[in-house]
Amino acid sequence: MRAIIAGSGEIAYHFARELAETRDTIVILEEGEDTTRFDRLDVQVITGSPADVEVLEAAGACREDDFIACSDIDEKNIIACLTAKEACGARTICFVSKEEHYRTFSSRSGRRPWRFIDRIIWPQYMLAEEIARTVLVPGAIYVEILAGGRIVLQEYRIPERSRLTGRALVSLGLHPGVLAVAVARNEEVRIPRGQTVFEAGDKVTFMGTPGALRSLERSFFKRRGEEKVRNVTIVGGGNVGGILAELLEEAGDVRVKIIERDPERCEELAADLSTTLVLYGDGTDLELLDVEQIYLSDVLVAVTSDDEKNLLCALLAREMEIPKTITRVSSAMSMNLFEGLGIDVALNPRRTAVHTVLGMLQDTRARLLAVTEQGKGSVLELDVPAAFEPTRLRDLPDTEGAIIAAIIRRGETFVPHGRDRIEPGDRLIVFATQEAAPTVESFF
Amino acid sequence: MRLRVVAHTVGVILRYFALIVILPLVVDWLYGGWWESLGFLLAGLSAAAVGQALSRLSPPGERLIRVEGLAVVALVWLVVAAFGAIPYLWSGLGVMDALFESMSGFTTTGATILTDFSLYSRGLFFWRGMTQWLGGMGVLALFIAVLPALAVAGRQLFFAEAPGPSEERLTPRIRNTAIALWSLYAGLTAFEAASLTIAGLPLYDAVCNSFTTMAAGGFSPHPESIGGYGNPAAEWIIIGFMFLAGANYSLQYLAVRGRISRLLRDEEFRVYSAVVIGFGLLLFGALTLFSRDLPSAYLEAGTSAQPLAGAGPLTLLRYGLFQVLTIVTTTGFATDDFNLWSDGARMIMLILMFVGGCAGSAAGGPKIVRLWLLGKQAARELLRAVHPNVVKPIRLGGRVVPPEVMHSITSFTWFYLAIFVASTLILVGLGTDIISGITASIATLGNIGPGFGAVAPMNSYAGFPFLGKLVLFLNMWIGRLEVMTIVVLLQPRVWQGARLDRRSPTGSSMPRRSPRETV
Repeated sequence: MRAIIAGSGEIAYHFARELAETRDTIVILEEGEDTTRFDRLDVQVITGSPADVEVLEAAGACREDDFIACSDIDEKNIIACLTAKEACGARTICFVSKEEHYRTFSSRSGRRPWRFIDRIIWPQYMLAEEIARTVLVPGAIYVEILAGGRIVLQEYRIPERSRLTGRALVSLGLHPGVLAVAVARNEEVRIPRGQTVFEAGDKVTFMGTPGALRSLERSFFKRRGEEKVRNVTIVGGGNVGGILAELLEEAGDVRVKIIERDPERCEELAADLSTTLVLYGDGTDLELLDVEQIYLSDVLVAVTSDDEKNLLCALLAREMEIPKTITRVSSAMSMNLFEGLGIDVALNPRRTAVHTVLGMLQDTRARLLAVTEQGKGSVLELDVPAAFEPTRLRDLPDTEGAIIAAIIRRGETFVPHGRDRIEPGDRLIVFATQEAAPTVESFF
Repeated sequence: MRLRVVAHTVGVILRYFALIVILPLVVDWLYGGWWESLGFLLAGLSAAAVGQALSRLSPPGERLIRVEGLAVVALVWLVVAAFGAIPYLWSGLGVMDALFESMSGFTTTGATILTDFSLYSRGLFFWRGMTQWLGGMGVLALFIAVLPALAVAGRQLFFAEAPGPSEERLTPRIRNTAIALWSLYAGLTAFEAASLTIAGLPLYDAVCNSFTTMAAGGFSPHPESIGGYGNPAAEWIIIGFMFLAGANYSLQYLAVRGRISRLLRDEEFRVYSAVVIGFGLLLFGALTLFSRDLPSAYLEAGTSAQPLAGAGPLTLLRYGLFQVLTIVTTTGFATDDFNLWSDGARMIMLILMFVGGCAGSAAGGPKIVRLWLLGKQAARELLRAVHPNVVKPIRLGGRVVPPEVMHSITSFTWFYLAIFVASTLILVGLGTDIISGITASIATLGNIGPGFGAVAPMNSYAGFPFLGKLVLFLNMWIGRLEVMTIVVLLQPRVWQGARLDRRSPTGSSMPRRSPRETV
């Protein structure tokens, strides 16, 4: 049950740090790669190529181990997974950054799956998908779609002078199809209770049916002219920007402009995209922003590879009174800085991927559907065992740190309240904090 | 440029061409024209002799460099037209007239200087149709298909001759591509001939007209063209096959092999279909107005039947579609003397003369795809006026068209128009009226055939002076080889260092070129 991590970058470091807390962790670094960061962690470091059988044997890799190939080079990861699977039979997780590799090796391709890769992760796509969902809901700062679209998770920042502040949650009169499942304040995530009072600046996560969430948005989070998102500007046409534009094109009815600095990349983007307007230039060039009437955008997404540039773009966007900005942040430190400056949504590409993988690695009955607040909250799905005695929700033992957000019973999905029963065979969608997540299944 | 190597390649092709010229001999024998058949024998023997002599100028197996390939293509078409003219000479035509008729045949133009059809043998009309059939899919493509000796130089020759900016690769080997296209072409021709026979045409006429339909040529053994048969069923059949002749044969080959969606999804094919249907309806409307109030000139002159008088809508639709297709595909058949039609109807047809069929078809003209892409480029400039920084490639069927292709299309269009203007000026300078001058010029450059005025379908090109015929002869040649092949060779820099000895200018006998380079 060890974890073997092949890679030396930011992602590998995150994995090492998180995994070292619960199990034996081995990091394989290539010759000449910097080990100092890993020396500070409680992990074993082996030097050599992860595609070398002898190195894997030295690491003692075996069937029960998890093998995570997360270097920056796709081909290296693929070969490493092939070696780990064929030589040791370990469970393999492969990181890729190119679409063709994802397409070829993911089980979604519809062809016979490749046996040597158990899970394939394309972090840029995950981030782009996350941004796309968030872009399309005007007021929300995070959106997740669950249970095939029958349940939606949306996170909002409580604005100043909101009708949601100053009163206890029970007396707000929320739509019965909506539950407030989490409130994040001072970087801490809690499950709100009936007596909880929201404050301006809180980030509150709601879950419920799509219709109920629309009515929630209408009654509490409506800002000027925000019925629907029509104009989106993307600054930075790299991997994430390109995928995002493609996803927004697929969503339809959105006019997308993408600003990219590299002329050759512009040509590539223009060849891949159809309705998106590809603009050659710098996202901080005020004249360009003016000529292209960027101030009319409903959302500005800054996803260049440079945190500072993204920050500058976000500040310019606020100056232009663009209602919503989403920025990509690489380091955790700037994340807090961004939020401190009042930039609505800052997303870290690696965190999302890392937490998804960590969720996969948990060998539990509960399946991880999504993570929020950089892993501080997670959405789990679990089936109620047949031996379970039907119980009303309010009669369940106190579940500190977890809340049942939806029940799927015989194809029907509903948001439960205290009087509703939980029956054997139900499928539950549960929101849990980081601390409570591993214990959720013990309730049933 | 190694002239000997060029001459050798031309010679090899000419040697085999000799075999083809003999073929109509049999037709003349079948119909009892013993004396007339000698013309084909003469043509065959002289082609064989000259071909043999030329092919000995250089040993086989030399690779052609780019301009040499162009020179071979240009020369082959000239030489083939010259030897193909011998049977006409034998039948009593003058030298320029014989060359004109022969070039009009091979380039699938369909412009004729014949005035009295009764003077010539059946073998000659068969030959006239057959030259178009050979020229339709490309003389060189045929030899590439049957001659392994040409396979080395095949790629560049094939694409220098192929109409339109398309490099549809059906098979990895160019020889197999040529074979595939020729078999499809022959199959469609046989199919059409069978259909026409069933519709009631004599076998001889069915074959001759099928040759010239599938080649988008337009020669008919009947002096009044297709209209002369007075057979509506045959006209509908020809409408269908003209439509196919104007569409990309490579895509039709794929369609026959079961990948029909490639054809139906092809952007050019869709535009082509829209043009045919749109203009067909437009001409149908113009003819409906025209037929309501026929001028007396139409009733007095024209064909014996005056077919538009009192015609029903279905008949008018048939006339409309037939003429639109005959012009768009640059075939040049006629079911009526359209020179007598209203100005509105004639204007619609004049516009279509500047269009042409699809790339990779048998049609001439500038081609739908070029005009369509130029339109897209123009539209992009409108977008750029609003968004100066926009990066937007020109696309065709979802794929990006490389800027080099766009440049070559712009260049083609300029030279095409320049040659059109120059030849019109010369013709009008020689005393032709404006309408006849313009339409004769575009009808030969676009390989259409008949125009208006003096060159109307029931008239002929016989009335032009020698110089006028020469200009039109060159127009047909330049138009069939899509302008650039010839224009490139007109530059002096191509001929610098041209030499008669066998070695390449660099001294090596195998000039290097990148394997991906095509003409």
